[in-house]
Amino acid sequence: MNRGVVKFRFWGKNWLQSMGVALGGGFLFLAVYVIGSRDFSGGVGRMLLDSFQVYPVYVFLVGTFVMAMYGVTWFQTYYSVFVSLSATRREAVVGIVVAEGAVAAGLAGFMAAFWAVIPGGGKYLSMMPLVTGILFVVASFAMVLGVAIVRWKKLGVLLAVILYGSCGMAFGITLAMTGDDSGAFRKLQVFDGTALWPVLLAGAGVLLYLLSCVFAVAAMRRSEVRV
Amino acid sequence: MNEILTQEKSIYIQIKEMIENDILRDILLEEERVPSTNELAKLYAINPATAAKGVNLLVDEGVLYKKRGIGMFVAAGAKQQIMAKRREHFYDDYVRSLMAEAARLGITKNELIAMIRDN
Amino acid sequence: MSKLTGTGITKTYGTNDVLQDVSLELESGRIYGLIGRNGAGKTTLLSILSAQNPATRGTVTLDGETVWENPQALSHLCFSRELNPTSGNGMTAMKVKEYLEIASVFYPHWDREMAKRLVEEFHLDVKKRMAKLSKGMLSMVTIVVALASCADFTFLDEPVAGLDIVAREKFYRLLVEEFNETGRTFVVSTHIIEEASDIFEEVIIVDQGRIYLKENTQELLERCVHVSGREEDVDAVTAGLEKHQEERLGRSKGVTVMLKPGQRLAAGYDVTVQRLSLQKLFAALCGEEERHE
Repeated sequence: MNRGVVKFRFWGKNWLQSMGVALGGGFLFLAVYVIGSRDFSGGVGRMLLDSFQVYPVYVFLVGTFVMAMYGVTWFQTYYSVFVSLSATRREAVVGIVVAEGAVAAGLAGFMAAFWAVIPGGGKYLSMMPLVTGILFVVASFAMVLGVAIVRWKKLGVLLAVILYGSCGMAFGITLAMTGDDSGAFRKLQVFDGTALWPVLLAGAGVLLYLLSCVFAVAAMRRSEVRV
Repeated sequence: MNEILTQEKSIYIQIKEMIENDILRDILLEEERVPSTNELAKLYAINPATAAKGVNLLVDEGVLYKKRGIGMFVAAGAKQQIMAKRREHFYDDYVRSLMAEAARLGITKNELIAMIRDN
Repeated sequence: MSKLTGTGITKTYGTNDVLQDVSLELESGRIYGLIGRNGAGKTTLLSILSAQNPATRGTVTLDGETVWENPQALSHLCFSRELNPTSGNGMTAMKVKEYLEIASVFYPHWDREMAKRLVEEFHLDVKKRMAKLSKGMLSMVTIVVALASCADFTFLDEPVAGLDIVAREKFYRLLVEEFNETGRTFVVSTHIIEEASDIFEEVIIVDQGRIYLKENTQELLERCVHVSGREEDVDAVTAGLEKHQEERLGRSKGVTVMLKPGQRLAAGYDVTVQRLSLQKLFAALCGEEERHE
């Protein structure tokens, strides 16, 4: 259907933009890390390869921020414009949430592919279920907050501040408890495919994301649009 | 054609009269095509239905006739027809208000006649 | 022939009834004028008719199908609003190009060629951000969207705000041209009544949340007259008729009269009888003196 093709082109552009920022930003962080690292014991080449292996992790970090920021602003920027241009509310919301989900999937896909391909990256693959779960959880948060801000304005912003704040706190506390960054990652590498809880987390993440989609569609059903 | 529309009369009547004026001035000759309602609407920035109303009045009076698929044309004898009709209405259109105003100003009928005769 | 029907539309914001039990029918192949004072409910009505906002009560149907959240029906509707991107609603950073791109996504009959042609004709810089556009240029964007949408029922809200007279005249001509070619229905809401009145086949007057009247423009203007002269004469001539906006100055009086079918002014009195412009008529009908609070 022609309308589908045009929509795909439009959201495709936005998806590429999000992915681009995540990949590019991740690369920038990696470069900073590499420059900051002083472990040249095995030679420059060895060090670069080691550092490069964690590139997806930086993509992940930047990517979650990208999903959060873009996801929310997509609602703010596009929702009312879509509806004012004769889109149904459902179409408008579905477009945004699917694009967000596609970013989450895209990031997960990139990370898995990268680690599958790069030499020595295989040991990181066991992290994928956990990572996927987190990505979709972030996507769901972004969608819920995007809707909350557009629908309930000030209350939504308040909600956003509280939620983001508590998430940030939780993340920080977890990090502190599990020691430094590299230690946490190595601990996660211990979990191989036989451990169930990362897979459950992945499943929960996707489920949460799907629930947030339903929530978004329902919440915007009778929203007022003022352009 | 190309007169400016006023608010004094209904638009469709003005369109009708404009076409009549053009026929009287030999701007539109008999058996010639008259601008279509769409062309009139575009020229004057008016609704085509309004233009059509004016044109249709002329068709009803026999001043214009329709050639299907081609457009509206000036009927034979249209000029004479228009002149005759306007002569009929001359009293109502012009003289009546002239006399009312004259009466208001206390100008007598003789004075009116003198004015006409001497000019 | 298509019909867009609104039945019993009521819209309440808080305790304020912006629209009260509004019912009307719009037909295809017409140009309607929608006029009313600020706050009368015009924009709200148009947004409800185009399913962009929900009515508190009442329904809107297109050929019998409800329009609300109905993509099929919505593909025939376009409501090109007065744009105001500085109010922090997210459109601020968007470029004109992107806005038109989005329009092309959701209007299935979007005419890219026409959009391109109109952008050139209006000298619009599509790379400019919406928030940086002047009022006039925003109106031009509104007009481009409305015309290129090729929707069967297209609503324009204050399309000429900020446009100079030359641009306004261009707009009226473009509208008539497009109407000539396609017979699309246009509903134009405007405060600049006089210029636009010639293109309206029917005029809809909205006053305080209700439809005051909906009538063929020419017929409406033909049945309204302004009578003036000596007070006693005017009263005698207009006895028993519907009167609006009586004005007195010394011994003279002026009044707007709306004749119902079959009525006429009494003859034999020396009074001045004049036609009214749509603008003057509207002011007489919906002016301050007419408020019965």
